Amino acid sequence: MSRTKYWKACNDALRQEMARDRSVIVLGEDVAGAPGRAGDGFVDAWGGPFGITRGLIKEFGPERVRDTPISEAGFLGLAAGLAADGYRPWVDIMFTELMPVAWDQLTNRIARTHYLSAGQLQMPITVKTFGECYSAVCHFPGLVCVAPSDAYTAKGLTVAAIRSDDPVVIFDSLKLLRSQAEVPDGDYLVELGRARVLRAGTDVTLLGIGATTALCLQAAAELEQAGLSAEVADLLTLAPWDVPTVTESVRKTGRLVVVDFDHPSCGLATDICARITRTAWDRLLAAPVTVTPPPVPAMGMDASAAMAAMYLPDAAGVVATATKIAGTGSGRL
Amino acid sequence: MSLCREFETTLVAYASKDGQPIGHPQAGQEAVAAGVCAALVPGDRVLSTHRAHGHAVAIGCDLDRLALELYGSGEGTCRGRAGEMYVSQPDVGYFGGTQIVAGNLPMATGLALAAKLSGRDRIAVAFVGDGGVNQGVFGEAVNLAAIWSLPVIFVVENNGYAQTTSTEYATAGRIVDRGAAYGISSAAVDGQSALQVHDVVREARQRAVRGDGPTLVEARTYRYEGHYYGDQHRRYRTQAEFESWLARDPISLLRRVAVESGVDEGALAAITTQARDKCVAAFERARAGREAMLADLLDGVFTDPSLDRR
Repeated sequence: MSRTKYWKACNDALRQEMARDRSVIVLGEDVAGAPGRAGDGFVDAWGGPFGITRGLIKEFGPERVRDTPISEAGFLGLAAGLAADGYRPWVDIMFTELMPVAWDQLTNRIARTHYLSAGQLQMPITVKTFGECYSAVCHFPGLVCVAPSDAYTAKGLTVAAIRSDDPVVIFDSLKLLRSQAEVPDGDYLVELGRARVLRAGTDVTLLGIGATTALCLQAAAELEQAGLSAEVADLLTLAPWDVPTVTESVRKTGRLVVVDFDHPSCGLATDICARITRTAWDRLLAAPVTVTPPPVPAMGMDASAAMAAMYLPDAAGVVATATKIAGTGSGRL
Repeated sequence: MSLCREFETTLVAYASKDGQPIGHPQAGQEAVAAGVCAALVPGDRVLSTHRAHGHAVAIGCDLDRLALELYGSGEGTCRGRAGEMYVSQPDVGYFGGTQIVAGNLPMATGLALAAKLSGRDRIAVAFVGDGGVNQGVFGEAVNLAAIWSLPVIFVVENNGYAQTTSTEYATAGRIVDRGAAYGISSAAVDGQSALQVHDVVREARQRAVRGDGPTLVEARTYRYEGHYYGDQHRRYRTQAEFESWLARDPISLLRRVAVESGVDEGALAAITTQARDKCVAAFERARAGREAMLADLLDGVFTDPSLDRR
């Protein structure tokens, strides 16, 4: 167990899995950097976005750590071919905004091949991207979508994704890149399809998705000061998400606040509220609600600092929403 | 070739009676499918287009299960889920088609990279139409294949039309010249001559397994029917053009060559009869197939059953 940064946990997971299984192949733009220039002494010039793949080419060579041209559709589709023939490609699609370029390969080919081939073909592909625009991807049956919430879950989910025979899309948050957590040095995995409860409470369930889990924990601490007991759940797998665990929590507390950094329309947060309204209906004390950015086509990262601060939900917003649906600011209801 | 033709003729006859989908007809293009597949060896991987059943037949998919699949039966190759465009049978090297024109090309580069990484003497072949060469992924896939010298052959079935839009209108330059732009081997071939197609692909296959990279083959051909069965293709193609291609029917052309080289005409007729009998038997079987059940629909979204039905 050691205190590890998020990006390093992802890097460790890849190194461990590449050493463990020769079929794991890393693909993406500048995952090593300066491809083909070893003769000039240039190797691993960049190490992938934010160092996620740093050092891998030195250990595993250019056959298994492959810098690609800028062609997301091309190399994601190439990964489908590798996967259909027994390899386990891990593919870097730098930012979620780049995903639509490869939409056909992801949604028509990778998501559907196992199902449409009636199991004759499998797509053990891990797609890794930075960004919060996951709802659109969660829409497609056949893709497992996950969002780690800290370095521990980042490593464990990456390991689970690589070992899974199903295609898994990992949505990492840039906000967590330099966050630290206690991470086991050895082999462990965080099971796909399972949410976890991080803090027990009785008055309201705060459900975090990726980076918003930290906001929920912060909000829960503030709510406690105000006399409200908040349970915090961490979704981890966004599709297909863990309905039983979230249901159990909400049936206990009677209230649900889903905190999400994705666009609100047709979003995962709204989907969760709709499902939970049915599964916890007879125990609900308030309508499930969401805390999300406003419905504007801004990007969290390319706005000015002032706009970003207004755009993304914060802990104060979560506290205000939880307090509002709890009906009063003090005491157990 | 006869099997491709007879399969389609039988499919049309049975499916129109039974209210089943016919899909995308390929009659007239058989020499490309048959010529390519005859040049391949077991283990090679084939990816098709939306006009898929000819390729599926040519590579050797099980006809009975293919017919059941087109009928949506739970006993079909893919439990009735895939239909024409997504049906696959990897144990004979058939990795399926695509609903998205040229969407299969990147996957072919991956199958080729898998062959290369595993050191196996196998190649991947991707069919694509003339319409597909104008998609972005055509360039992406050819580029990836070229820079990594992948054992893949891109076979462009240029039948002159993308739906109703002529190649002449929609495609700049000559398709075959696009290979040179990526520095790869390329060849234009008479797509009505199964022998020519076969020879070009056999040579391309040898290059590929030698490690000399991909080849782009442009096969000029023609579909007798419309884009789909029932398409009023006379609204965009002249009778004279249609007849000029009918005069170069790929099956008749090969039959002539065979007779000239001394093959008995009776033996040739027997090939057609046997093909027809197999196809009739397949569609009779399809008619009697078990209908798809709820489990055929709901199970197996994921390999991990705990993720299904959520």
